[in-house]
Amino acid sequence: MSDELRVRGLTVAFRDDRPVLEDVSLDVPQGEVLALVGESGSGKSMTAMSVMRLLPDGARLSAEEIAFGDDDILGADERRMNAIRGGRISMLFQQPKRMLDPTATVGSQVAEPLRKYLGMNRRQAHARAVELLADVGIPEPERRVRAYAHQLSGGIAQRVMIAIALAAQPELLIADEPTTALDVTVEAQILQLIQAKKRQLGMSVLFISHDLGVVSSIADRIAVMYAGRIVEEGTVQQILSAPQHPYTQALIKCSLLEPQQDGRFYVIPGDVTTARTMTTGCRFMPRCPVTHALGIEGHCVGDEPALTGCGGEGHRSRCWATIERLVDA
Amino acid sequence: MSLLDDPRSHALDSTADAITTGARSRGWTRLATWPWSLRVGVALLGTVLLVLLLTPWLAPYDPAAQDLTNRLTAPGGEHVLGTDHLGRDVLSRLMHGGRFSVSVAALTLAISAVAGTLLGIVCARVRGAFDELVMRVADVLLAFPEMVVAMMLVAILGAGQGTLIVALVIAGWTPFARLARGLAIEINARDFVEAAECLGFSRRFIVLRHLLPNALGPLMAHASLRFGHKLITVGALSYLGLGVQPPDSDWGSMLAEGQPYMTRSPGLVVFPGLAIFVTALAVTLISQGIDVRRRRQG
Repeated sequence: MSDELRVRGLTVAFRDDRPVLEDVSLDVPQGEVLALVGESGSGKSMTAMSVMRLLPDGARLSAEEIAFGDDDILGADERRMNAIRGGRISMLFQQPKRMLDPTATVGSQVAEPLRKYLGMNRRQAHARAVELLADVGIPEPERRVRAYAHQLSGGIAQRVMIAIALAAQPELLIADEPTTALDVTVEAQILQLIQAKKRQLGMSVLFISHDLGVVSSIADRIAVMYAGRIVEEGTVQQILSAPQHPYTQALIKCSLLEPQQDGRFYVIPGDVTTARTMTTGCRFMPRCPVTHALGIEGHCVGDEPALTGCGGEGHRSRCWATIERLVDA
Repeated sequence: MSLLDDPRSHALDSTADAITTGARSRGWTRLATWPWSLRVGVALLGTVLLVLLLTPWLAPYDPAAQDLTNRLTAPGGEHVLGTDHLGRDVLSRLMHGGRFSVSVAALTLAISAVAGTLLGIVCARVRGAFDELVMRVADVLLAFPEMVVAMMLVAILGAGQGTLIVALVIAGWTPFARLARGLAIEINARDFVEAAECLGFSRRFIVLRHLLPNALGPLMAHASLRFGHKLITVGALSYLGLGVQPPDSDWGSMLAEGQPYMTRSPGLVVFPGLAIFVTALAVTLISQGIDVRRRRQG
């Protein structure tokens, strides 16, 4: 398929600091869902905003390639970017209620992209907005178009955001923790809705989440990020049933929420490595249980391992332990 | 559809219903949904403006006609609001003076508010040297009282209505620029602006569609506060001979002229004061009412 998102060697840094994203490469083929998983501060959202080219002031972006289909995102001028944003690539966010302008009605905000991208007039856009709201499962859409953000529940607001994001029928949806702020019951509904829309429009999804449980229900492939690096990637099957990287293993252990022998929940020791605390070797090394067990600290401190194929097709991990094992075998 | 139904939405329906039916109705039924402050304010200001508009036909006397045998008469009788120290009819002078006071105050306020807001938004956007320059100029202007700036300008440009307006605008744009700049910086950091950027909307669209509506409340509140202040400043400048020239009058100059006779004829001070008070109050009520109405809707 031609319309895929290709990111190669994406690096983002703030002034003199070590990069917050380093050499991130990923592909989202058309119609597929790639999940980016990791703790807060691992660079998931930064990756998304790089694809939108909407990084905060002071951020320096470099990459070998960022392209979506035949659009070169890295080289596009601001005018072209504005056509891509919302037109070809749309975004969903964590706090849907804060993403809606409190002074404008829901309907007018759904109508905005319709008028911009589909050239509708006010009346057509309003009528279409009602259809779109009905389409994302909002009851009584004729009345809801006149509501304001503060009159909506979180679930309804996220549905409105989905209607807005999909108004111009984009080819890629970037969903940045779209269900994190919602109740568990509503979360399932929103995930179902995203999945249904994905199938209906044939779009691809870059789904960002810290929750492996959520991701497993929606993604085709998973990329695990840690401290600005992709540390493991593979299909949902590969990642969940045969995780190679100790960080992935720890994440899965955390998300099970099963008390351990001592009755406590499992917690990854230490804090997430940030640009300030980074060392030369593997970024997970200070918190890694494997490095001590295997006695390969020397390796782990010295050099950062490369993302290396391990076992299954397209399954890659960035860990010396995995590489050692492959050498041994 | 039932699966996708949000159970929490139904609880909201009744409130949403009450609000939307109100906002959508037309004509007189719509008036009934206005907050009382808006209704009273519009009625007051409407009356004031109507009277001022019709003054040439309604005023009982020539405002400049002196009648030295009838000086400082009490309200009532032939002269409804009495006469001043030169025997001129106070009601007629109040009506004619109001035309000058209100129009100059409104005009300068409108120009200051629009220019200041635009400058503030541009500053918040470009930052850097331009922002620094504009804000330092504003600092300098704010350091002097409005009156001093105006007097200096009048000294340079000569007295007259045009000069008065220019002077009041130059002294008056600064608070709007500062307020708008602060609001713009704050609103630009809000999430819905980021969402609009992600939808590929241009900067101009975001300013018009998201920034201005969200900044309007505080700006309107400030503008309405400033209106009464402007009325008084216009009067004070006229009193100093920098605005309206005798025998023409405005509310501020009438206040000043009546001051020496306050103990004998309190009406000379009370009536122009009341006129300023009522007009400023009407504007404040309207802005407050609009704010209440906006908040009821969202």
